Formats: sequence, structure tokens, C-alpha cells
Amino acid sequence: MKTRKEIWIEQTLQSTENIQRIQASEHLFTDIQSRLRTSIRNIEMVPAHKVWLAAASIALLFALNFTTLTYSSQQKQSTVHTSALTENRFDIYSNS
Amino acid sequence: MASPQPDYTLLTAQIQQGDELALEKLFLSLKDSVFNVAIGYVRNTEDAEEILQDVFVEVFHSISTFKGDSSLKTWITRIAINKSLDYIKFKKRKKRFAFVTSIFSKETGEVRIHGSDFNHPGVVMENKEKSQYLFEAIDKLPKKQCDAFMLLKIEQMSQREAAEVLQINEKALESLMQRAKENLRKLLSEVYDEL
Repeated sequence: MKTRKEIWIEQTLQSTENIQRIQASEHLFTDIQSRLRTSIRNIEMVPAHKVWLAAASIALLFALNFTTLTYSSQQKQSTVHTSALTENRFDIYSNS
Repeated sequence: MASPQPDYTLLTAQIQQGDELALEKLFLSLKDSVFNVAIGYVRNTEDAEEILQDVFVEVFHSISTFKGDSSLKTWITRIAINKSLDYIKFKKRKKRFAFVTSIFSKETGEVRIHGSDFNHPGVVMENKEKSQYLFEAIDKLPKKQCDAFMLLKIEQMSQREAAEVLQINEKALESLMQRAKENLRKLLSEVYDEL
């Protein structure tokens, strides 16, 4: 036989049986329409010159980064080359 | 009398062309389903209305990404669940922020995530109190079990529909439901002991 506790648990588990579906208001679509218009307007509101300015800034940033990286790697190579030449010319690490 | 189901394939094509009238037809056909999913998660009518709007704005903007692998209703239900979960996360963050700011300002109001006193408007009067305990227990379930229980028991979807929304097979759904019920029994047992 089921205890009072078990009965309570079963009843609670079944408390949402035959739950009625709630109806949403049809008028909410008006809000959706106005939100759609606002979002479209916001997209349209960004002036073309600002978009170009942002694109140019990004391109400049990439160009600067690329130049800096190329320059620094060239510098590194020339340092390695110079020190190798110095070692060879003066034979500074030889034991004789 | 229930209105006949619209041609979702046609509506999808029309919405992809930016047809707001088609979106309205889709809204009228699925608004109650989306609203009931949302209210089950967020437990607040105003928040569920907000989510309902978010869902259809998202549908309008991203219908081009709908591949037709599942039914349109399933796709929209998934959006509704994700939006509801995002909304809950947002409210939790807001609550944490409110807690931090309340240390400095006593005037900050409390932000409710789930009202423990929430009465689901669709629950029959004599079950109102018990359903409150049930909803509190559902919140403590692991996410997948919670989703399975919500879709089958609260949203009253068929096994096939719910499995499609959760992108699992029906057998896996049954097993999830079984575990959800076991966990709910344990949680409700603790509640009963405290009463």
C-alpha cells in the first residue's frame, strides 16, 4: 500500500496533466513588426562613409602589422648573418 | 474550431523574400506553441511575450539558414528553447549584478528569475499548489532531463516531435524521461519531508 508521501509525490508529478495551453495575444505581432522596422532602420542608418572608414582602418592596421613583422624578421636574419661573419672572420671561438 | 495548418514550405519561401504578411501567418499559426514553451521555461507571462517576439524577429532574419532538415515548427521550437535559456542566463547575470550593487546601494531592487510562487496559468485550480513544487523541482534537473520533461509534460508534444526538437531518438528520450521522473521523485520526497 502506498504511503501518504508516495501519494503526494505522484499527485505532484501529475499536477501538470491536462495543463491548458495559454493563448498569446495576436496584437504582439504589431510589436514584432515595429521591431523589424527598427532593426532594418538601424542597419540602414550606418552611413556608407563610416563603413568605408572602418574598412580602411582595418586595412591600415593589417598593413602596419605586416610591415612590422616583415621588418623585424629581416632585422633578425641580418643580425644572425653578421654574427656568423664575425665568428668566421676572427675565429673567436677557436682554441688555437 | 482550429484553423487549418498553413503551407509551411510556401510560407518559408515567402518569408525568405521578406514577406511580412507570410511572417504574420506563421506567427498566428505557431504563436501559442512558442508562447507555451517560453512560459514553461521563464515562468513569467511578460517575459514569455518578450521571448515570443524575439523568436519571430530571429525567424524573419535567419529563415535563410533553415535547411529543411526538420519541420519548421521543430526549428522554431528549438529557437524558442534557446532564447528562453539565454533569457534565464541574462536574468541570472542581472541578479548577480544586482546583488553586487546592492552591497553598495540598498535601493537596488531584487530581480526575480523564477518566481517560486509562480502559478502556471494553464494549471487547473486544485493543482496550483502542487504544480509550484513540481516547477521548483524541474528547475533542479539536469538540462537535458528538464528539456525532455518540459516538452513532453508541459508542452504536451508527442514523443516524435519532442525527440526531433532535442535531436535525439525516441528511445533516448524515453530514457531521459525515466531519469527525469526518478530525480523528480527524489527532489519531491525532500520537499515533502520539509513540509
